[in-house]
Amino acid sequence: MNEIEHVYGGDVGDEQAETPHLEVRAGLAQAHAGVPSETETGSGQEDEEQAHGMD
Amino acid sequence: MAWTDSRIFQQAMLNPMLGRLWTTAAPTTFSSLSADTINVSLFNNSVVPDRTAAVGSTGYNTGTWTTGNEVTDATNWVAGGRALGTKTFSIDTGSSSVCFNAANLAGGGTVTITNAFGCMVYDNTITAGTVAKQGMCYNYFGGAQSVTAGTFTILWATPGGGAITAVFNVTV
Repeated sequence: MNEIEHVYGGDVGDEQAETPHLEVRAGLAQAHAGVPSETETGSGQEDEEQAHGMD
Repeated sequence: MAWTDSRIFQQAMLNPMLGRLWTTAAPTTFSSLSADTINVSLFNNSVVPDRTAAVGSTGYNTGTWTTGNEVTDATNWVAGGRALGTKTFSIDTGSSSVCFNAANLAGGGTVTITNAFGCMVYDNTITAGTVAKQGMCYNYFGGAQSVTAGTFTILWATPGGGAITAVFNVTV
């Protein structure tokens, strides 16, 4: 009697396609507490839309 | 403009998040991000995510976040999305941020997902006050993501310098 190696419900010896696996890296939703002063140097994470005083 | 980045909704930050520091009435039936059911729904590239959207347009199936733009699987990632599990709220010293985190989120089984560009994370327990099913944030996947009869898992991002992942965080 042949041994059933992979039990998928099909005939013995049938090849079964591998199930695809998709892992998706989500972006980080981020906020920053505090407002840097006009003289404070940038941290590299400042919002580019942040307004700075003029004159 | 379609998906470009991931953001916290301003209105969510105003209330319920920072609203707890003020006399602002919490959204109806809101308890906390811990106690509430927080769902994640997938969306295509027809949405126009806007962190400054009016509060009435930040709920699931409002504004741009309509079921017509939602990406689903009929069985294992149905409309309305899937609930976050193992939620935490803690400081990550490496990124100097307060992180709302949860377990990576997979479908209920094998799914067929086509052109999911990102997700919206919303509080499915909120019924009114701000907006029903108020969105907390949206997270971009970086492009179209598709799988046919396979598993689909969202891996939450790690803040720069951080040691844990986060759905959203606030640097301090």
